[in-house]
Amino acid sequence: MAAFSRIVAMALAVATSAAAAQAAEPTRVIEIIVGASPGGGFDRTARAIERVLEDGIVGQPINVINQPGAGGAVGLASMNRHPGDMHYISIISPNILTDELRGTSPMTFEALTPIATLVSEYLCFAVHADSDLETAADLVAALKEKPEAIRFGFATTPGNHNHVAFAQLAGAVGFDVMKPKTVIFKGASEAVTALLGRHIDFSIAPAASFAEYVRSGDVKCLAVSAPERLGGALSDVPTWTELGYDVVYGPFRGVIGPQGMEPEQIAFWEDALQKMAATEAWKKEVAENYWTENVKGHDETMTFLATERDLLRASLTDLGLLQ
Amino acid sequence: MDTIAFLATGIATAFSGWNFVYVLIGAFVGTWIGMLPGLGPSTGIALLLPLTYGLDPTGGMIMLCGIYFGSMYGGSISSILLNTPGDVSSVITMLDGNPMARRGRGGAALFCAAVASFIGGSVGLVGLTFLAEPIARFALRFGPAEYFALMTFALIATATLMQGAAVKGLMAIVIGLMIATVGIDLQSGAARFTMNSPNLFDGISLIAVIIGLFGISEVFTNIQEIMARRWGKVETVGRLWMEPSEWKRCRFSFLRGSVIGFMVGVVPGAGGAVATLLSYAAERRSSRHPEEFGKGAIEGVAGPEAANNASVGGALIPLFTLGLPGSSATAILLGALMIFGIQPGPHLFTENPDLVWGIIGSLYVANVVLVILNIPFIGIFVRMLMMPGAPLNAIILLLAVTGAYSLNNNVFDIQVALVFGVIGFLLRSAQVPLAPLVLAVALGGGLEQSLRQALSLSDGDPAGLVPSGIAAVFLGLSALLVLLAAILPATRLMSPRNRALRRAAKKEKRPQTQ
Repeated sequence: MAAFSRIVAMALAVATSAAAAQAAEPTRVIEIIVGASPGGGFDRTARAIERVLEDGIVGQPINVINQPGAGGAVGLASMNRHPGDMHYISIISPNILTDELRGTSPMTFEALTPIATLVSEYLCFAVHADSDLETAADLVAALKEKPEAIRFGFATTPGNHNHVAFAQLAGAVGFDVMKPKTVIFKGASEAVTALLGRHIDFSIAPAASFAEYVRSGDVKCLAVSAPERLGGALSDVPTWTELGYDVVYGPFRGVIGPQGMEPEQIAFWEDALQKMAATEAWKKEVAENYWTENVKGHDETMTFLATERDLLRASLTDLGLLQ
Repeated sequence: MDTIAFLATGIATAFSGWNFVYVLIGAFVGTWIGMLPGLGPSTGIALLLPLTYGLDPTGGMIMLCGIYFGSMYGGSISSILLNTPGDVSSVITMLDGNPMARRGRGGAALFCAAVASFIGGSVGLVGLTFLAEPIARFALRFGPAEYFALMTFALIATATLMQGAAVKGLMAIVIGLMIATVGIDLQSGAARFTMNSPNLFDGISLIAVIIGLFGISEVFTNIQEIMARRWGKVETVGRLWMEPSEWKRCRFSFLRGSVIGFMVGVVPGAGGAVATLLSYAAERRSSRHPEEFGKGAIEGVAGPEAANNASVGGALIPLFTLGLPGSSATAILLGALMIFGIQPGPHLFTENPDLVWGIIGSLYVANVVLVILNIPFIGIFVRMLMMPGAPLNAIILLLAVTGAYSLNNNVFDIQVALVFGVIGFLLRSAQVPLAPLVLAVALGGGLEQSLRQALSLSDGDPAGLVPSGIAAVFLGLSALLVLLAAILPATRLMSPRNRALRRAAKKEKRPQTQ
């Protein structure tokens, strides 16, 4: 009897440990919750991840669910209603940090489970093709001499990546970032329209937003805020560092899970996303979107997010958006 | 004559292989989805987008365009028959379409809407085909100041939607403008009236407001009538065809609506709401029976419906030539293109001519298919009017709630719709007109933001509001309308009611002319 109960206990132990091992692998449909509408930047990242992961890297089907609202906060909150459940993941950008700093969202990245950083999206500093500002040097001179004469417009909210990059340029060049006339547009396409119609003089947006217009000759990209030159239509555009100004900034995109994920669950996703980043299909997505690879695992992402938050705090203070 | 050759290839593409089947499916499914109370074109397209994921880009876009046109027509069916629009653009159709249906002219209203949609759609498409290039450059001249001027003009035109006491109409507009201020302010990033709820950061969803004010409050009103035993379901659906006199009244409305719709559609961001509103105002101004508007004037269906569909062709011009979406529905089409791996932009026409002309060709085909598909169904559609009250209410409520949820997959939008259902019921009881309120919600955000953008660009100098002829014309027209309305009632020239009274008096003298 004693022998029997020992066998049962052993069998149970084996079964439990098997269950623990299984828990670190998705067993049903995975949902990528996107906090933005179909077709936007977040959505494209999610769908690129879905396409590549479903192609043999993750054994379960993946659904992309759009829950737009509050710059992504609504989607994150909805994902976080499944604590410790690895079947729900979401996409993050610096928005989560900005919202925390400005107090518009109670959510911090520490309260969720950041899994990986995937890419950075560097920014274009662009003017109309017929603008008098021919080069980055012209732009710098104009901003230094008569900043209040420059009409600067960007999307989608004050204090976002475009605005932070502008604050960095102001710091590097030495002009008052509050002086230029600044307008905010609802979406990247409204900002492009205003630039094409010459209602503004100058705009900043992720490279992909301008690349097609640079190629058609409607827009001139004067410089990019990348560490190295970008490819495609923008390969001739100098970086700010090349020009002697320390402006390197681009919003990152990464993957985050709900609160309370187990180390094995994190390990599963880190591994899957690393495999994904190594595929040709992913590299093609990266090139087409003018992204720059920036792959980091869980631990590195945690440190990275903390440093980014400090950097943003400083920039937002410069912009007068934080006390 | 390159354009004609391209168009021919495009139409051939629409008929080749499975594409024609996709057009048919899209138009058919779109109509039925759009017909559900609370669902209109933008929700319909977003909802049905996943249907197309498995298809090749051309096939998928062709199906989406079918859905787009189909759901626009479907939206007018529920506005006319059930008084429950699914989008701002069909709010206007409801104003006269629903009274027509209650008078037993529902069939004629649907028929008129189908013909108007066809004519408007065709004019818009012909414009898209032949005028795309020059017009796209013109659209770029609309900066913040020009946009503000156009929105001001549109807001003043909402005055024509007012029925009854002017004070109540003005109140409705003010309430609408106040609702439009909720959310994170675009220029400063400050949260306004959000009560710290992230659900309110993007403002109160216009579609949820429409679903509540019209769909859900309609259910309450119906229940009240049933309880008071006043529920008068429509006993006769009347003759389905338009009378010759009705044709005569709206033949110019079709054309006026089409032209207005196309021109407004071209302006990025203006969209169907402004197009239908301006067309309605134009119809009322030029009509010889302005007193009938709001009580079932067929021109009030013909003009706006034509304008709504013509604006599609206009809105597609900036999308195809510049990669810039002109309306919420075209923004979803742009997203779809990206999901299919096509980078929209100034090269779309030159680098993907097969795709673009395939889409344009299928729109022509979808336009014809819809008329052929829907006219035989009108007889069935109008029978909805004869449905008994209780099940009809249950269905409207169910679909309104589902529609609200499907906007953002968020329960909060259902709560918004329910709250506005109650508000709508109370406002109706107090005889406050709901249409100006909704239009003010739709216009308010753009009006405020463009004003502040324009003023930021001019450093606060009000002269910055009139940087161009376009802005001057719209602001001048707005001022003129206000002045006329303020001065002329005394001379009784402008007041439609007085004109009507005079005409009625004349009719009494000669009753045989009727």
